Amino acid sequence: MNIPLHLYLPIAGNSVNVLVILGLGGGVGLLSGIFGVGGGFLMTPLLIMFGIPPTVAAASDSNQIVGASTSGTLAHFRLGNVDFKMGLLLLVGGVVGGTAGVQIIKVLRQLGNADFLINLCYVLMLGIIGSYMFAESLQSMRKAQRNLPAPAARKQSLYGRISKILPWQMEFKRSGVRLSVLMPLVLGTLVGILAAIMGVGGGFIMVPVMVYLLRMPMHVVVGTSLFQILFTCINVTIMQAWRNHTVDFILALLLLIGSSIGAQLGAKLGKKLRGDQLKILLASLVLLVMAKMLYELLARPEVLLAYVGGH
Amino acid sequence: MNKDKKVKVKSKKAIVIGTCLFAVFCLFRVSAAAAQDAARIAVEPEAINIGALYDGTTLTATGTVPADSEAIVRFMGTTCDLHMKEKGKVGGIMWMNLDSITFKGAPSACLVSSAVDLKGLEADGGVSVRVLRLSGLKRSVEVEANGDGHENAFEEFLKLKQKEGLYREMFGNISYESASEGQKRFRADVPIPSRLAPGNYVVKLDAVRNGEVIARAEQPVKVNLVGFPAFLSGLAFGHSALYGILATVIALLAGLGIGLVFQSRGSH
Repeated sequence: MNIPLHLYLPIAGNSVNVLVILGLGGGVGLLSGIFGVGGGFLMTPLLIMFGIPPTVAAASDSNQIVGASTSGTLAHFRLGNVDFKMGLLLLVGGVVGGTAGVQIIKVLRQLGNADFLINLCYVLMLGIIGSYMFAESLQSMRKAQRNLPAPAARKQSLYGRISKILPWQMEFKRSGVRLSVLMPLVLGTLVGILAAIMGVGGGFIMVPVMVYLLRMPMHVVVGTSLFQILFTCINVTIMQAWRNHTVDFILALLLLIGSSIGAQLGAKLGKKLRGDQLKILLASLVLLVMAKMLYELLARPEVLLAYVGGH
Repeated sequence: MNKDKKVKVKSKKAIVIGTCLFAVFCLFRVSAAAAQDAARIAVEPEAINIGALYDGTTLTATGTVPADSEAIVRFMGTTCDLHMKEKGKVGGIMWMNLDSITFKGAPSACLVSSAVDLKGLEADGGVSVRVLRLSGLKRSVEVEANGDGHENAFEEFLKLKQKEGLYREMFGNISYESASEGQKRFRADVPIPSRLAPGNYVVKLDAVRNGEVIARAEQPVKVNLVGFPAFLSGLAFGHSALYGILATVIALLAGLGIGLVFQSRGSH
């Protein structure tokens, strides 16, 4: 019996090999489950490579992230890794920042060369975050290998002192930190602005912000990040389907089946890894994507034309 | 007198009959020549239905062309305006999308088939065969761009469309049967790509002799979405907000379902 391996995607206007899309979803879902990132910055370029129009790839990916992050959030919730209070505050900031970011990108486009600024922003953000995470986690892994005792009284940084004197201090039990409500709100807004400008969910910026600026433990960061991404992507999916007709549900469903299973496996695998191991792996991934983007900026493209609307 | 009149009338009749016969003969010759220089085409299927399992198809075009000509079969989409960005170097280092560029009157698809290499036919010296090639679209596609330096824009456009599989030149996919009465039968098997938008298409046949087109014919082909893709497309474009909400709710439920399956497996 011949099993049909191809399905036609009516919105993308192309047919795809079901196994390839399931595999893509599974691979990116695995990373999403391990690191708490939506995976949009990986999935969208991969889908474009397989002949999906860029706008449909980005919008359908948001739709599948809704399912994958639901599954991932559920898995992390069961493991006690979701700080709902922190997640909601970051989400409120993210919505405010996202709205501001959309306006900023409009102005940038009117000024011209917006794409150049977006790509440069990507390379710089990925480069800074990736290098810092890589160096920091390498240092902590070396310390752990040498079995060095943690310094008894660490000198508090200026950032630490400022965060202590800010008003409306609140206890975040799940994260084990006490912070001003303003911090997740302001940081969420900043990430929201960057995410809107760069056209991504923002997971790969949010995770380092939670680790280094909100001082949350890595495992809680992953679950909380997925919880926040879920809401961001619900908003993006509805808006893209309504305004731009770019959500291909069949594609999203195929990716979702793969990525939801991958996310579950990823959450279990992530639990087996230590915090610094997780960080160094995510840092390597971020640096890899940065290197790919930098290469695309420097090397002569195969075709010097691109449809309006794609990245 | 009467005898003379009769002779004159007879000779007039002979002239009229002769003229008529000559005219009929000429008409016959012209129509016979026209029949020999005519081209006919039929396509199978007449409509391409894109269902859930569509992954491209083969369109068969059959017909006749003059025995001493070559058939060129083109599968063409309707023309439209395509808005694009042209990449250029910024600061002499980085490649970025820079200038807006519009290609006006470009067909959505253009698949050119022939029995022999088109380069060979072009080498015969005719001008009109060049128009039938992909590069010949340059005459009909208008490039509108801001600023200068877009000399190679059309060539880049061809590259992009060829990469998408929607523009293609193929040779060897047309076969002929032996000729009779100045005509020969042909059969073209045109592979239709999976990346095909619904709409009106046309299959054009050009019979080429010494590099010049001597006969033409065409058949329309309709491409339709059917079954589930048609339903989904109708929902996405006709009720977009509802479609977005449904896509989100189904994704949420699917994510929850898969999560619960893993939970129950994990607990045992």
